[in-house]
Amino acid sequence: MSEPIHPTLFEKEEPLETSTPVPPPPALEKVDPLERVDEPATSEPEPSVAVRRNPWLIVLWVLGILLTIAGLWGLFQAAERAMDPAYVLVAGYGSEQYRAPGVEDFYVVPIILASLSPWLTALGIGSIIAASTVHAVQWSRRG
Amino acid sequence: MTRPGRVLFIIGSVVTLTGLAICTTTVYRYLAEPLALSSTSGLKVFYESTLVGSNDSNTLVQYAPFVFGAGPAVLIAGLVLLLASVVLAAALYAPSREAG
Repeated sequence: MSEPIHPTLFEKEEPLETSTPVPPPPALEKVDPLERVDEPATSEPEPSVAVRRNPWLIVLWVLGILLTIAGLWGLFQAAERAMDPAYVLVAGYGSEQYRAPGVEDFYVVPIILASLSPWLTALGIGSIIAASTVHAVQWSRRG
Repeated sequence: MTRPGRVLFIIGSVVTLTGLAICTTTVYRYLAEPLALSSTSGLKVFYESTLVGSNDSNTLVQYAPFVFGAGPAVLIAGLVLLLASVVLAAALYAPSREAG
């Protein structure tokens, strides 16, 4: 029991030299409390872009744009075909080929387009509005 | 996609396919039933449609005005359900922690 259990605890402390100048502690940086108000309260790391991206929202945007374009195209086509064409263009503009209009050109296709196109346009615009609403809700939750 | 969204997607797909089938059937039935030529009917005269498999496209026939029926309504209803499922999935989407 002659040796101490923790020899470092029983080491002799060197006397403080009062003659050596003690360097002053570094000055604390003055922090304006108003400057850090908008910092996030939690220290969780921001999720990566891949995680934050909502794939269904992208699908909704794409569907909205495609449906709107298809609906508007159908409306224009229905209006054009309703003008009682004397012939129908069947080949490209480089080598035009025409044929006599059939019953599909007069009755079937214009009625299909006129029946579906307004609804497709409305669905496309509705999808774009829905996607914008989801974006707005997510934005307000984040803020 | 959540379970209600999945159910909505399946129902929307079934209704959309049903609407497409009704539309296709309506068009083919209409084209397969041309009318005989009549000078007093007031209808346009066409060559017989080649969509229904007629080999002779020089036959002149008449067709009654086309009526689409319930096909477009069913088709649009299915598309509405499909879009509703996508909206639901986008609104309730929760990113998985493992993805990042």
